[in-house]
Amino acid sequence: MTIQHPFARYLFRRFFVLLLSLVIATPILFILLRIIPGDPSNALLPVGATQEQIDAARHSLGTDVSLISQFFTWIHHLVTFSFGKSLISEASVGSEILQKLVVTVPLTLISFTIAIFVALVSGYVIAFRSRSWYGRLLNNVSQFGIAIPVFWVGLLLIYVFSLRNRIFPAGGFPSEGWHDFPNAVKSLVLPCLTIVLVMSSSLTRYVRSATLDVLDSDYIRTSRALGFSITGSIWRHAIRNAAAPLISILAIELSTTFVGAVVVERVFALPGLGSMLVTGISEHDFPVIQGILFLSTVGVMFVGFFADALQKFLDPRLNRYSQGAIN
Amino acid sequence: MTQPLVQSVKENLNKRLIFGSIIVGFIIVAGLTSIFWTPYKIDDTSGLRLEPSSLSHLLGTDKLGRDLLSRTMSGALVAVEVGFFAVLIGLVLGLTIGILAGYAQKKSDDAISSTLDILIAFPTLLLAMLVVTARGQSLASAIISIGIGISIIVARLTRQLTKKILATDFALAAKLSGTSRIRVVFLHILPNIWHTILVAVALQFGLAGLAEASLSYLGLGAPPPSASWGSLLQEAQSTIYTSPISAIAPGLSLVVLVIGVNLLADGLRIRFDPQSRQR
Repeated sequence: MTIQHPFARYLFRRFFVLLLSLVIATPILFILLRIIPGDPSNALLPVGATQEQIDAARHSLGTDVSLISQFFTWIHHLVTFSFGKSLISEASVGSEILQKLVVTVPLTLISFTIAIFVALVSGYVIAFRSRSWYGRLLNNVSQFGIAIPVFWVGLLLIYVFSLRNRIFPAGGFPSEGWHDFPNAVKSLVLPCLTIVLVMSSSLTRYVRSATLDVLDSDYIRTSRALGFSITGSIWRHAIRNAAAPLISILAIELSTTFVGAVVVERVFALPGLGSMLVTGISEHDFPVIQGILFLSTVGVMFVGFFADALQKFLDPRLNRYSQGAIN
Repeated sequence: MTQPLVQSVKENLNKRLIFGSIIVGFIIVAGLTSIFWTPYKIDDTSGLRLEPSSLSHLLGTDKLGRDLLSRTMSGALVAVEVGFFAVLIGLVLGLTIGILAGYAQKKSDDAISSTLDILIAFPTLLLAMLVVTARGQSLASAIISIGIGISIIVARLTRQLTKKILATDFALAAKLSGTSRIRVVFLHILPNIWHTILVAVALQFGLAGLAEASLSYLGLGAPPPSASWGSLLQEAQSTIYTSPISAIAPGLSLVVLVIGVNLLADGLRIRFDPQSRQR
């Protein structure tokens, strides 16, 4: 069967690349995490454990069989979304991850959305009003913003808004979760603000240079020569032309926002995926680490897939797999 | 005789380059000094706890009575070390992969470049967590993972630039006259791409320090007694109300380093490509 439509053919090909990279990434992730120095069963055992106890612990962890069969057990865990059991809490890693997503997903997506809007406005203002005082101010603020570590912003916000003025909580999440809606929202305000401040700065830089590129372009000049206003030309031509390159940047920045959320959860003691991952690493709880890193990898790959598809849809001239020949 | 010298200095320097070099140079010197001398030993707990800044402790002390100026200075050393070695790894790996990909033909070039496209989206911090889990917590783990992250960026850039150079007439002439590929790399490719690579790598020097600080803040960087700016900030979090300076000094150092590096990179770019000043 041959697929006729070029976009469908592209999608098909790109999806194949996605599957292929998953097939390659999965064993790499497995092998990297199984060469951990030390026996993971040590985490379960008291000092001076007998050989029988060690064997029993290894059996319960499933590390007493060959690496190959451990690998297939793990694949089985992946397919059933259980990801194995945590060594420390003995709960299913899959269901624990689901609980944590309730914090991490809203934190990441809300901050990312707000950051994009802030960046669109400020990047545009900087590009168009580069000589006015507010254009310069925004320009300097965004240059400062890309240099600031996200956890430091969090610390300073805690100092100002929780300790000096008790407006928002310094950390934690209500134990009833989203059922305690007002408090849940309150505890996410500062974490979101932290991520928005940092992410919108770097996004602003991209929007600014994309806007400047557009203003320099031939099609805007032609459109202006034909008598359209700047705003009119931008609406008619620039948005679609500038969108394609911005989308691939946004895809990367979405993963950056997720990592920001991982760090920020730690700053504000939020019970999310990031806190779970960091605790897992310090406790050598490898099913937890493996599960979260695998999910993040899958997430990154899917975001890349959708970004590429959207880009190709907006600008069919793009062909990333023959780019080498053109350059 | 002095006239041409002054002129050439003026042509080669610009404000950003000068300010950037001064800032980065200052931090490097502070870090290197901490190897031989710090006002107090970094794990000397003889001071009072959470002392405010005074003449004997310019930045005050932490909750164990350790001098914060000494610890911030040794944090500079960690940041400089991580930046330098991570960039070195990134350069060696990235240039090699990039030039190989630049020479590669259609199929293998596709394979390399789409792998790089996927890897570039994978966040360095997650990669670092993977390496820390596999190798154990140490400064070397941080450096290796950040270095790999940088190498992907360098490799993509190098591949693109190499393709461009190889498509020129002088590269074709070299090939036709029988110059070996190795000689082409050293005679034509590297001399024509190094300044673009240098600007990219200069930026990464600051970002490497930032990445290491995040890792240390999460408690996954070099274990104590090593004092990274990230671990200083983590220690300062619980006492930020009583002694805000302990949280401000390391954070501000990090910001100053990154801004300095950005200025330096920008200055280098303007120096190599004066027409790009607008951007």
